[in-house]
Amino acid sequence: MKKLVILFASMFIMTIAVQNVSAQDPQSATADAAANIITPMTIQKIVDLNFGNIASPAQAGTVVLGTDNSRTPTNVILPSVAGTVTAAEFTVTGLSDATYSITFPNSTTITNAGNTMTIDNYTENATNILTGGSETFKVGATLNVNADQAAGAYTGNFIVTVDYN
Amino acid sequence: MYRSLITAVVLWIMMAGNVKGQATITAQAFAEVIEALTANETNQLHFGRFATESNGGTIIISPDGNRQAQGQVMLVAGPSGPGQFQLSGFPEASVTIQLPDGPAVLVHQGSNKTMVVDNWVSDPPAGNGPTTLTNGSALVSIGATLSVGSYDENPVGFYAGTFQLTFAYN
Repeated sequence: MKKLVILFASMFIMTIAVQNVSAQDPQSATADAAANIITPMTIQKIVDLNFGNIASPAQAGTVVLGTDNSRTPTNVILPSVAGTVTAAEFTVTGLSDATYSITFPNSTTITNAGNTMTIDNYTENATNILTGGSETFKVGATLNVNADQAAGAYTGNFIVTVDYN
Repeated sequence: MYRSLITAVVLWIMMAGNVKGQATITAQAFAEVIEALTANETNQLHFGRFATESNGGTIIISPDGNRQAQGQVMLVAGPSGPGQFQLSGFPEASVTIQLPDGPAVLVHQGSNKTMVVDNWVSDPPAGNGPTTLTNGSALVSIGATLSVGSYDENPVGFYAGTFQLTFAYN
């Protein structure tokens, strides 16, 4: 009977703790994981995203850049001189074997001399597990090319966010 | 109560750690739209002067400008030559040459009588790939065969027509 009382008491303390968690922040409900999240995540860019050379199409089209550096054009001609074609590459570090999520922008605008194109539908080949405390993954995306897109080198920035699950 | 306060503090610290768990980075995105391919006709395809007899014949101009007659056609000296087109575009890109799908019709000025041009040939050859814009340009020569009718079918005079070539990046 004495043991039973102790058990009740400890449950009571746990209940208080959980309520406190709720009062502070719903995220902290995963208390076990939270205790380990002292190693901050870092993300480092290894390679930028580069769609390479594209011939201006008569009608609007797209180029899908895969994480394997492949390019799939629709209504766009890819000239034999491909230029530099690279899927983006990032390395994430953090707590060993933790799972994490990756967030991309919905859409990114790249510009040249007042002309614009958009990039969307980002893809990645991550496992979302920090095996051994890090993971390197590649990022592809879709480039939307306008009809009679003006010639030039287009550039823009996009933000990648990673966070523990 | 004291214990729950400690718990709250500990949780707050853990939450702070949770916020730091997130990391962001800015990467750059690039794409280059290459300059459009342009073509200018620098020489018109010209079969030159010739005389025809009762049955007519053919005149063949090769891309290198060699002119030959077959049948009852007699070539006469004077200007003649292949069509020549100067392409310009992205350096070292390869280009497709597409010859006319069918014959071109040359019309006699004054009578509406016609001659037909076909068997198009180009140098570099038509099709995918073989033409490269060395330093951003390439010269394409076009030859063809002119079919000449009898004297009645093709009276003396000047005949002219048009044909269409398509050049594209590939």
